[in-house]
Amino acid sequence: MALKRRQAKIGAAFIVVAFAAAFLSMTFTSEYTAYVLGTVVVSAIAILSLNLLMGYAGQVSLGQAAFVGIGAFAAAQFADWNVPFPLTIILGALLAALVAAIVGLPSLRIRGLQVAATTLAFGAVAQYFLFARPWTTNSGQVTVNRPHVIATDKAVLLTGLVGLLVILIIDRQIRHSRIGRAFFSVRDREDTAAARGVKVGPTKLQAYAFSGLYAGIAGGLFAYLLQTVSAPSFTVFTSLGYVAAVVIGGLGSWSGAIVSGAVFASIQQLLSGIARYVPIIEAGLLTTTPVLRPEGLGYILNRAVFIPLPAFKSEKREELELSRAIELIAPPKRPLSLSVPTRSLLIAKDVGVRFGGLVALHDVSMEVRRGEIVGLIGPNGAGKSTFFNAVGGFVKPNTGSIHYRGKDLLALPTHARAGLGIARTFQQVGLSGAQAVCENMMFAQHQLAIEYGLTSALLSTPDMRKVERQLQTRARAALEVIGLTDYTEERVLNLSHGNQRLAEVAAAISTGPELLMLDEPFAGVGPEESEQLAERLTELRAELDLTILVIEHDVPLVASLCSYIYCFAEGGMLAEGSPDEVQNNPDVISTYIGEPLAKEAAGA
Amino acid sequence: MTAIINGVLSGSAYALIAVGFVMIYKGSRIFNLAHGEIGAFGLFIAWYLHNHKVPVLIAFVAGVVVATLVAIIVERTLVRRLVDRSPLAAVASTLGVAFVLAYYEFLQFGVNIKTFPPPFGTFSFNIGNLTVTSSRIMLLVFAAATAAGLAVFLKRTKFGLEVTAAVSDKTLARLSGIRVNRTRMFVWALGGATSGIAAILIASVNTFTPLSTTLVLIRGLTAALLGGLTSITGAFVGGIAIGVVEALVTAHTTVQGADYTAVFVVLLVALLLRPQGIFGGSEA
Repeated sequence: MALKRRQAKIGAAFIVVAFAAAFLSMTFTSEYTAYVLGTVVVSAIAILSLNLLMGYAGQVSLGQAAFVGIGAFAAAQFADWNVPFPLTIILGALLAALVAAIVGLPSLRIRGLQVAATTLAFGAVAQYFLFARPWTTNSGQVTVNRPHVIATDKAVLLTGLVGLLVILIIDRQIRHSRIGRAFFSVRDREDTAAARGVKVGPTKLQAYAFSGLYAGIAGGLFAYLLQTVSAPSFTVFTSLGYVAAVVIGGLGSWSGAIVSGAVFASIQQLLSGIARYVPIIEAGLLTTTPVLRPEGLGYILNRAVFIPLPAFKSEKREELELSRAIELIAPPKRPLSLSVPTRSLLIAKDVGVRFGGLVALHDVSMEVRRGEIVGLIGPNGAGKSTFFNAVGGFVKPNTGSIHYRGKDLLALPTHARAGLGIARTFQQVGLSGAQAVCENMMFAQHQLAIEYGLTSALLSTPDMRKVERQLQTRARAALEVIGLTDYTEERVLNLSHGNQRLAEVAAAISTGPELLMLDEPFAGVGPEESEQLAERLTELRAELDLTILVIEHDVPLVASLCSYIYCFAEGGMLAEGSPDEVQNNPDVISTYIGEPLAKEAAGA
Repeated sequence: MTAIINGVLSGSAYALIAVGFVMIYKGSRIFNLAHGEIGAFGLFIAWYLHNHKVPVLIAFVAGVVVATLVAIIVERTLVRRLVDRSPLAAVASTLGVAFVLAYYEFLQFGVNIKTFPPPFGTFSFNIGNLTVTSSRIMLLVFAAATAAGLAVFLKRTKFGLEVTAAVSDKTLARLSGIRVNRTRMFVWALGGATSGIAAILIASVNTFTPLSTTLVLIRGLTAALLGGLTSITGAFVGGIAIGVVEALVTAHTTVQGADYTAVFVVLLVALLLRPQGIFGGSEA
């Protein structure tokens, strides 16, 4: 954490110096240079808008120039209606944000590349229809009159720099708050995101809106800088150029986005001799960057700026006592409701799930009592994960009921179930590989962070900071409890497979759950590590007052860990009972021995 | 009525583009944003050859062959390396290819409006006040034949089934002896060829410039999306539908850009009502 904070400080200092230099140089730059720098600032903001959408939230837009154009045309129109100056840009940006959110609507129903295609289609509509309307003027070109305060190119550049600064601050606030964590999670894995309490749909629309807002600001500045606005400035090709700049800069790297945007824009303006080759250079870089250096320019930049500095690992960090850590993340004592005088936490009755004609699960009934470790075994395709998904809300059972603490789970949406005290891990590791372990832990507690809203996040209000501090403390406590403190700042993908599994358990535990559902936590973990993990789970049950439901293939391991075992086969319940009973059940034996080994091998 | 016939004929151009696009998507699960430009590159080669006294039909074939080769090169050098690591990076790199090709054409051949003679003769006939040229008929023939041929090929032949299997579970496909890289290269080659055919025929109907193909690609992409992205039949029907909608709108209004806007509205409504597309889910 120390190193990271140091880097952030250096980054901030860098920006302050850069802006100070820019503002100072204003006194002796020529009008022409100011104009050129203005275009650089405008394209940097436009590219940041796409970086937020693609890099943070994982939503591809191939029609970003349309939003810039809307901001520009709107600002021009508002100016024509005598709206005072900075308000014209703000109103235009808000309009662009609204339109972007509307264009993002299909993302609620379709995913990934399909959404990308609709944004491309919108870009074409904007270029050929919206911006070619005579609602502007008959010539298809609008003139913008600069008000007195920004009569010169220098003054517009100054406005642009202020705009860029504001956007960089907003961008930072988003990245370091629950808003940004929700973006990252939707980008990396939508199912995990929902399991952590993220409302996936609204989060996507929020990303579109923010992206539209940035783009609209870029457009408004553009209008004042050029003093004329016309359709050819906002074509589909412009949009594709933005995509190129973001990819070359490195997806999700704001510094890379600015630099790649600035470099291309300034070359185009300043070195007209080679300007015609710029697109080809850009295209070449776009083609080769993903192959040669997927992290893009931003990565190289980060290394250049930060690596020569000594690592400040030694900075004092207060040690967290294990007992204190346990205290911190132990679940709040939730008394069982009086109306349900039973020790059972989870009761499933006659649950059935069909996918089309395929029966994935039928007539499954089970009960998980408080404080137990319950095992769920069965061959591949037996419906174990399907059952987990039914509890988590990722599949909707066609029949039966699932109650948790007497509450009807099936009546609750996925993100609401996360708040009840149920935490789960996924068969494939459900953490964001590109994010640090600590950030993943903080994100895991997403539903606990809902206490602050958008405004608090943007303004860093005291209650936002308080919530963030709590999340951080709990994150560290969870890592302490699991024994992963050495990897706090490491990116998840750099961890060994066993440690990734542990990190996942830590993430689940950080939410202070009552019921911990583990989907094959031992898969791909060596035998020795498995035993350690099993031991740790047993300890945790006592320390944190946990109830655990665990899916596992390894029957002896489950038998040693669990007090009660359910065995599924072909979507139905094959057997249940104590480990001894299940292990000696003839049906279970024949299922496990009779099953061709090849099938196990292919699926595992 | 003439508007509808006109729409079907121009729609077949979008259909041919869409079918190739969907084929590549089915076989490699990425968008080939260079799909239009690869065909356009073939077109410029054909145009260049024809200007140097090469017979038009031979120039046509040469153009299609070049487009096919370019598609294969893109698959082998970029897509193959990126598709497993990051599909988004693979898509971005195809965008880079599109840029390279577009600007090469732009620098090499200039922005002047160009023409290419119809490769399949200059006959034409009239339906009402609509003149139907050989190239327009050939576009419809190629689009329908390609769509039907591919639909049958994918469903009925072993290699065709392998193409679909290769993307649904790569590991399993490899274990079953399917050469995933080979099927992917095959669909790219096929995509390149259809793109080349489409580009040259479209150019022989209208005039063309280095950037005009992108607009056709956008419509082709819309058609593919409308058809459900994984359905060859859907792509064909989607392309024809877009042609008809545009022709009908153009027949009733002179507002610039209204034709494509109508298509966009149809697309949005269709996606919100049926996210999987009109023929989505069907694997034909």
